[in-house]
Amino acid sequence: MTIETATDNKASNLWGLANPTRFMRFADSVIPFCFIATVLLFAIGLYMSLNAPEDYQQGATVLIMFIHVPAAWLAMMTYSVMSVSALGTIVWRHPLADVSLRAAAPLGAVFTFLALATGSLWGKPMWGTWWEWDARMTSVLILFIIYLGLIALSKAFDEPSEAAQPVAVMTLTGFVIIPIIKFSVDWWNTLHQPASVSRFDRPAMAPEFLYPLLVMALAYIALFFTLHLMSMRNEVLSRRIRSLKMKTARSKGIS
Amino acid sequence: MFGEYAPFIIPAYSLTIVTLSGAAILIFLNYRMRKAELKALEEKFKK
Repeated sequence: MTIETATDNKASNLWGLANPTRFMRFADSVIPFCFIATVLLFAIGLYMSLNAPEDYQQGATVLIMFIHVPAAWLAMMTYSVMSVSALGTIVWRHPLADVSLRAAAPLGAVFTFLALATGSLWGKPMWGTWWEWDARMTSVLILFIIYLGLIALSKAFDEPSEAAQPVAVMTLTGFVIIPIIKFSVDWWNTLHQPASVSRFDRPAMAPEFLYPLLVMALAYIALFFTLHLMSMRNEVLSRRIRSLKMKTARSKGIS
Repeated sequence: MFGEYAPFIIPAYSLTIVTLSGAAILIFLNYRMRKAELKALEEKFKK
């Protein structure tokens, strides 16, 4: 198979899923595997996390890291997925792109909320405060507000297709917050430490903390894909319901 | 188990587990409701 044929096949597969019936079939077959992977990864991750040694400085509170850091990563990853979906709506006009964006927004809000709440519960014993207006925390709070704003905007239109373009444009505009969150610890003096896992050289974290953290991050990613596919399926169903209701109303109006 | 930090660790884990499983259950229930609604509508539309 030539590279061109392989690329064409990939593209046609992606467009093939634009058909709602085909997408529903795809989602129905993939969701059980994603669910099993999520449960297994969480079981392994939680076992590893709860058996990790205490940190010499932070004591047992280091356990909060295993749920706080993946939640913060997923808050940013979900927004990145939404931004790619927004590009899909604006540039490629893929019918599933808007469905993906709408389905991901509440999930992103949930992960961001968890990052803020668990961060606060970690901050109190370590920094002596529940909240501080430092660059990292403030930028994550702004991300949470952006999520809420996008959810509100997507629900503000009667017709979902009318909301697609404005929501996509607003999503892409809001993407500016992602590099700000990522580099806030380098650009400003904050209570947070600089990046310790995603560095160009090797991670500055002992393996006994790094491995449980990475397994928990994989569990969160698997959970995101499971819930995202499930939410997309719900969105496709609600659009079908809407169009059937419209048809029924129209046929009643004619007769 | 978590010593003096138990009042912070237990709520953090509980909140995460409750929120994430709550979201999963809510999405699943939503699916069941929409599927049932669609089925009822399709049958109504056929008639």
